[in-house]
Amino acid sequence: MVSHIDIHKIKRGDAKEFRLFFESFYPRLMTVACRYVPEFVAEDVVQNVFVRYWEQKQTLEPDNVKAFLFKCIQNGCLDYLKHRAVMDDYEHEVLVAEERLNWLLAQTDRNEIWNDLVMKDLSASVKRALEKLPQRCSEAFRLSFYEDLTYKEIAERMNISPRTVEEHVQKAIRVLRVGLKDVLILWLLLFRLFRFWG
Amino acid sequence: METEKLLLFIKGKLSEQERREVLQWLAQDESHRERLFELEQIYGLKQQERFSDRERVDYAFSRLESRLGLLSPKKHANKLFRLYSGWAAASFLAFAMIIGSLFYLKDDSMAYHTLLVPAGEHATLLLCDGTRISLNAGSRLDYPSSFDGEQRRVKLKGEAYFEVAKDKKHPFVVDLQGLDIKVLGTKFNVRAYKNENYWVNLVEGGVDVCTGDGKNRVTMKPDDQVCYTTDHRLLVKSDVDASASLAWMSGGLKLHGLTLREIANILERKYNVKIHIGEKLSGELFNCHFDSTITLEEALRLLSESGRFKYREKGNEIYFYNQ
Repeated sequence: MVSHIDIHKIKRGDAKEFRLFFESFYPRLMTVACRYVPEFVAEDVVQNVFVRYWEQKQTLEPDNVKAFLFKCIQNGCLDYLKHRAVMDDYEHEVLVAEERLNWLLAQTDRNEIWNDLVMKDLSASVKRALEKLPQRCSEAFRLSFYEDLTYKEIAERMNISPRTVEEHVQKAIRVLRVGLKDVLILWLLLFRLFRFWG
Repeated sequence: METEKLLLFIKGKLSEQERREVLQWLAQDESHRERLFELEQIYGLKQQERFSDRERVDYAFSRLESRLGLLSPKKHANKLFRLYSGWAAASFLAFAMIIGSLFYLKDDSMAYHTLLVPAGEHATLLLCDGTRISLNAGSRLDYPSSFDGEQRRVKLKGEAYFEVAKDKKHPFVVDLQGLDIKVLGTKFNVRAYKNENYWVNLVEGGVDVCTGDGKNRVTMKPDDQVCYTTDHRLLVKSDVDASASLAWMSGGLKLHGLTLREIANILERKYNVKIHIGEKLSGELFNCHFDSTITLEEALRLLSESGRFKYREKGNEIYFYNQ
């Protein structure tokens, strides 16, 4: 994993540094964009964000890069939503989209500990957090979140009631919320690297 | 609101009616939205892992690079490999040796190099066993720094001509994702671009072509052509002049019975342009025969002289339309 990125190098047009920047931000920006639009659209939106960043790199100070990327992602996704043919619930969609951005920014801004964090292996952290759960509980969580099964299918497979599935999932979310607090914040931390900048 | 429903909302699996209901519910209260965002984050953890996949990041970056025009040789001198631009240059640089930048593939202790050839470029590579590979525009090759296992295995996406060095004890395998080509020592051309039919043309010797699930297998003789269709059918045709499939190496094009869309894809990669085709036109079949000095303008003019379509250019984009 990349340990630090020098924004000033990118400002000078260093393609190698830009590549590191891309490697580190692409997965996160894709994940955020996919919250708004389908994946194939997200791919284009994210490409455009990097193009705009590259074009405007000279005018951006390190402190503004995070906000710039977020704003570009949001605008790109909202543009797509606006262009979708007929959308009765457009206002709701936009409300949720805008609030999501605010929430993401608030989550990261509120948190000061990022200064002391180093990058952790995300998937390992998830695994560790899940290991702390009772086995059936983490199984129900895994099947519902990552295996695309419905509660009914999980209930049949695990031979329990759908209600119990819900209980298991709720419990898993509670545990993950606590256990992954740092990691979840880190996940959003488009600025794991920002302390090296400036 | 049940967690399951929110989860289905996140995954985009609700009916339009249900989706609207969830959106209304979300609009009602801030706490509702926070619950959604939290679930999205947990769900996103897994998704992000998928987006961190080395291959995916590489591909996305190569797209960006060609869009930004970052690939001038000067800027990339530090990458340890050079891509030779220009089709004329390619013919006498055929023996240039290229060392790809070093990457480590996940879950594999063996070191793999990756060579990405952007649109409009061309590259030739000599592997440590003596195998020579010429790569056409828009291709990607993953190959190990040394062949230690029982098989000599490389991964290809795109078009390449292989001259595989003979080594009977260590079969050479080209992995096309969904299709494997196994050879001992021979010459053949492969065209395997994403979302297109795959084509294998054998020049010399013999090869085995085998679907990824192992269910279908074909043994090819020289001048056999195998087509692996996008809907996973394996078709064989005999007596197809294999040398026609190699015309791309000298910069020419010999295309027989291809659809206009397939031809456009080839032109897009060769000249780094984007071609838009009306739906009715894209399935039209064409034969064309261009020599190595052909320019994009000439190719477009010759194709349109068939009288079957007209075209107009707008910057890097070209539009084919009905008369």
